[in-house]
Amino acid sequence: MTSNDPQAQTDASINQLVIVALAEGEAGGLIKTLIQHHYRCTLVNASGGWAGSAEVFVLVGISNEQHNDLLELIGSVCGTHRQFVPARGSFFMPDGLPPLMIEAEIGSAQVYTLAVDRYEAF
Amino acid sequence: MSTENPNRNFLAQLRHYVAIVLAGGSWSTQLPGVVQSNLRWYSSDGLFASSQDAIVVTYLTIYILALGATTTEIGLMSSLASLVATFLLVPGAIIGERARQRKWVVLSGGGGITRLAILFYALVPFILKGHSAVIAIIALKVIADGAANFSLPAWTALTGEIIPMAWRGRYFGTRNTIIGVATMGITLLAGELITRVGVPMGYQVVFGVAFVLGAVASFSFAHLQEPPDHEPNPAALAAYTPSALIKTLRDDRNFVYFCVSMMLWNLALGIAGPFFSVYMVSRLGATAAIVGLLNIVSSIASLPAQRFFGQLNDRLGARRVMIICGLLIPIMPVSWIFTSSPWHIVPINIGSGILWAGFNLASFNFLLSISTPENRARYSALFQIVVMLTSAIGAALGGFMVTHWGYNIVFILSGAGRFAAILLFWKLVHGEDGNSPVRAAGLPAD
Repeated sequence: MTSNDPQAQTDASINQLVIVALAEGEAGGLIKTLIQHHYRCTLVNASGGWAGSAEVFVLVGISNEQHNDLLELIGSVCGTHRQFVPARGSFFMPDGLPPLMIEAEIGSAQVYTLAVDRYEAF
Repeated sequence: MSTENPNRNFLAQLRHYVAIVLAGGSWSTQLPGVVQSNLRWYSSDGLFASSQDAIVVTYLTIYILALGATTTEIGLMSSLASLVATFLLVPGAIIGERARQRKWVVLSGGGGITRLAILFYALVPFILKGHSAVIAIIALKVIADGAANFSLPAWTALTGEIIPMAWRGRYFGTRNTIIGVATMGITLLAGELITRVGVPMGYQVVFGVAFVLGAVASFSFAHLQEPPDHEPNPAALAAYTPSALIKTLRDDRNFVYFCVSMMLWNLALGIAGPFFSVYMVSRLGATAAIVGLLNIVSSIASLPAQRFFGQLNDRLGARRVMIICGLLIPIMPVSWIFTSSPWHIVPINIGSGILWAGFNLASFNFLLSISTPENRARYSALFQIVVMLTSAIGAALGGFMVTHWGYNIVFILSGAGRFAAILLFWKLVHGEDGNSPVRAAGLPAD
């Protein structure tokens, strides 16, 4: 088992806190991928009301060696891509003509890395 | 002692909250003032224009049915409107590209002529009686749809210019929620009004309301601050020449197969599409209020479905989502032959709302995945021409078939045609299944 394998991670080896800020809809895919790759993470919902930005933060404790692997993984799931979204409401008429759609950029994430002085799990 | 007026504070807070909501959410405060202002006016336009559309789309067919139109005439109305709209799409794209201020193209077409036609829908029974009124409304519908489609490319281009690409997902998410709630409320109220006031006055009142809503939408759209003096792009203009469109079809066999399968799909849709609400009223005895309510059911079902299919689209790829939804959609028209009460439509419309949300989202994203930024305008134009032209043929055929063979045959044929079209798509059209974001990272897509 290599040193940057998350499964080998012990409480003492955690010396970085990675904070990922992303849109609510993108969080499910990231969490699932992180768990599949044995990262331990915490999700903080920061939605600001109905019309506020539906934003979430994912906190991941890692060792220095895992940092690049984790960034690559986050980039693979959260990288921006283009998608058509409905542009004239969501009033779908069954069996009618297709609604107006417009190209949009989906799926950005901001990643912050902070040093961790001490980490304990009880 | 505080001298502040609590009502004034409340109003200021309310105004601030409405401004934030119309701009798409609190994230918008980081954008420049002009962009925020544009986002607010654009939301206001969408709110009122979609409310107007909800009334017209839901009640126009049963309005002319109440005025004495036959099923052949209803099919003809849908067919001619789609046909004229198809022919005006490319000239509209060229004018939209050449115009220095695109908003005036929109305001004179969909924001002007179309809305005047809606006002005349309401006035026709005061001027004409009997069959002449039906013919006049068919002519007005053809003019309205033609004008709306003429200005559609300019509207799309202007939308692209005033809403930053990176914020569109969030902005349209909030905007669509507001519009969704408003259009459902308007549809319900309009249906109730028609049922209480009676025929044809109830319809005339709601089309009058639709005109007023449309006028407010045009007023909002006129406040958009367009980037100054848009210069025509010769490359964009060249994309719409007949030779460029034909070359596209010659060069990309996969796109040709996609168009052929969508032609068959939309032909099958067009056969039955205009007659569902006619069937509800004439065979199941539904009132206008029930027709509106049943359309709302599918809208409500589509709201969570859009989000679900958006994520599924990322994981499985647009082609697979199209096939999954496309194989289930043919069940919907066939289910109509087993209905004997308006309430039997509820589960069908829930299913339709969910599946259509997925299919529409996936079909546009499939188009995105098989085109490049350079040829996307051409691909989109060809796709729209294919959809509208075959819908027009389908509606004309449907009108003939309903009159001669009855509704059940039309519903079965529509289901069979959709099934054949999606099988054709499945077998012949290749997609981007291996390139969805999750798969590209070498991760399992389950």
